[in-house]
Amino acid sequence: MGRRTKIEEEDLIQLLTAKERRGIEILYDNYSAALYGVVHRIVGNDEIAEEVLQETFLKIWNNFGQYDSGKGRLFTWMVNICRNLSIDKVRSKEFVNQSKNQSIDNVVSLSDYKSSYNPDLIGVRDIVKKLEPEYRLIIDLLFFQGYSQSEAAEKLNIPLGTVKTRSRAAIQRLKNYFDPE
Amino acid sequence: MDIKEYINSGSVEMYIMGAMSSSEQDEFEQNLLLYPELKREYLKAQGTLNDYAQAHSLNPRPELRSKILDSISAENKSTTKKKVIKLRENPSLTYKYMVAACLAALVISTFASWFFYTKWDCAEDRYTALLNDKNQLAVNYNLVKMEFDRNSSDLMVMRDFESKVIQLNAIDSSRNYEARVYWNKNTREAYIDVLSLPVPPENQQYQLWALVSGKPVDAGIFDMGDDGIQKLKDIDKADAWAVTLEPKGGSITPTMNQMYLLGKNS
Repeated sequence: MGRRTKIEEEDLIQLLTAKERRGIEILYDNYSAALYGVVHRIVGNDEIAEEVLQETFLKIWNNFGQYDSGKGRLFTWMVNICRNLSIDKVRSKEFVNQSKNQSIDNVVSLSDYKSSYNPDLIGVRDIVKKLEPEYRLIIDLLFFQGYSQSEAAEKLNIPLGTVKTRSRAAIQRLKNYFDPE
Repeated sequence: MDIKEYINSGSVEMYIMGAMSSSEQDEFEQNLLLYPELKREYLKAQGTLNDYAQAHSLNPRPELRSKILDSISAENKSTTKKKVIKLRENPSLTYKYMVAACLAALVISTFASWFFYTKWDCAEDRYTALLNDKNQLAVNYNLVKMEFDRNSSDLMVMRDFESKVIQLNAIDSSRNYEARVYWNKNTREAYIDVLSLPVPPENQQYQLWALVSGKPVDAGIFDMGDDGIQKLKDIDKADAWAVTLEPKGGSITPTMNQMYLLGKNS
C-alpha cells in the first residue's frame, strides 16, 4: 500500500470521466485494498477474490459514465459494484463447485477478521473494536454482504423491526466514533 | 418540513441501510435534492461506512496491479476495435438470424408433416378396419336373420293347431334312427324333421312315402345336412308314413328292403 496519491475526489472523477489512464491508476492505488477487503470478506478465497477485483475495476472503467456524483460518494458506488460482483460469484455454479467442502454460509461468516488491517488506519481498528458485536454483525450483513433487511432478519433470526432499529443505531454509533462532534 | 427533525429521526441511516419502504425512499431522494443539509448528513454517513470498509482493507498481491491495469488497457483497445467491426458484423448477424429462423421453420414444418401424415395413415387404417367390421356385421346379421326366419316359419308349422305330428322310428330297432312328419290335413302341407339318419351314399337319396290303407304315395325326396324342417309334397290322405333309401331322384314305388323309418298317425 505504498503509493497512495493525494487527490481530491472531484479531480479523480474528472480523470476517470475523460478515460485517462492515470485516473484508473490512482483509483487502484487508493482503493484496491479497501475493495479487495470487501471482496475477500464475501468470497473468502484469494484466487477468486483477485478475479472479482479485476472484474470490478474493468466494470468501473467501462461504466464510469453511470456514476452520478449527485447521488453519493465514489467509494460507495464502487463498493456496490464489487459487492454485487462478489455476490454473483458466490452464487455462481463455478464457485459452488470450487468450494464444495465449504458452505457459503461459512464463507460469509463474520467470525473471521483475520484480514490484515490497513496500518494507515490503525486507529480505526480500535474504533471498530469498540463497536458492539451485534452492531458489527448488522453492518456486515447489510453493507458488506448486500443482504436485504428481511434477509438479515431471517439470517439472524430476529424480528424485522429489530433489524431496522439496530441498523439505524449501528450507523449512528459508528458515525460518532469516526466523527465525534 | 423541519429538516433537522427529519435527520434526527434517523432517515439517513435508514436509507443507507435499505430499511425504508420504496415510497419512503422516493421521498428521501426528493429531499436530498431539496435540502443541502440532508445531503451533507448523507455524505457523512456514507463516509462513515467507507471508513469502516477502509478499516477492513486487505492488500492484494503487488503483481495484481499491473495485471489489472493491463487488462483495462487491452479492453480499451478491443472496445475501439469492436466498434469498427460492429458495422460490418451487424448485417451478417441479421442474415444469420434469418437463416436460423428459416431452419427452425423447416424443422418444425417437417416434423409437423411427418406427424400429421402418421396420424392420417393411422386414421386410414382404422377406417378400413371399421369398414371390414361393418361388412362382417352385415353378413352375420343376414345369416342370423335367415336362420331366424327359417326357425320362425318352422315354429309356425309346428305350432299350427291343425298340424299333426307323426313320430317315425327305425325299422331296425337296434338303431336310433328317427324323424318327425308334420302334416296339416286342411292345407295338405307335409314337412319332415330329420332327427337322426345315416348319411346316404353319393348316388342315393331318402324318400318319404305316405301310406293310405297300406298303399304308398310319393311324398317327395329330401337331403340330409340341412338343419330344421323341410317342406315336401302336398298329401291328401295318410294313415302312416315311411322313409326309404332310393336311387338319386327317387322312385315310383318304394324299395321295401331299404325301408329305414316307419310311423303311424296317432
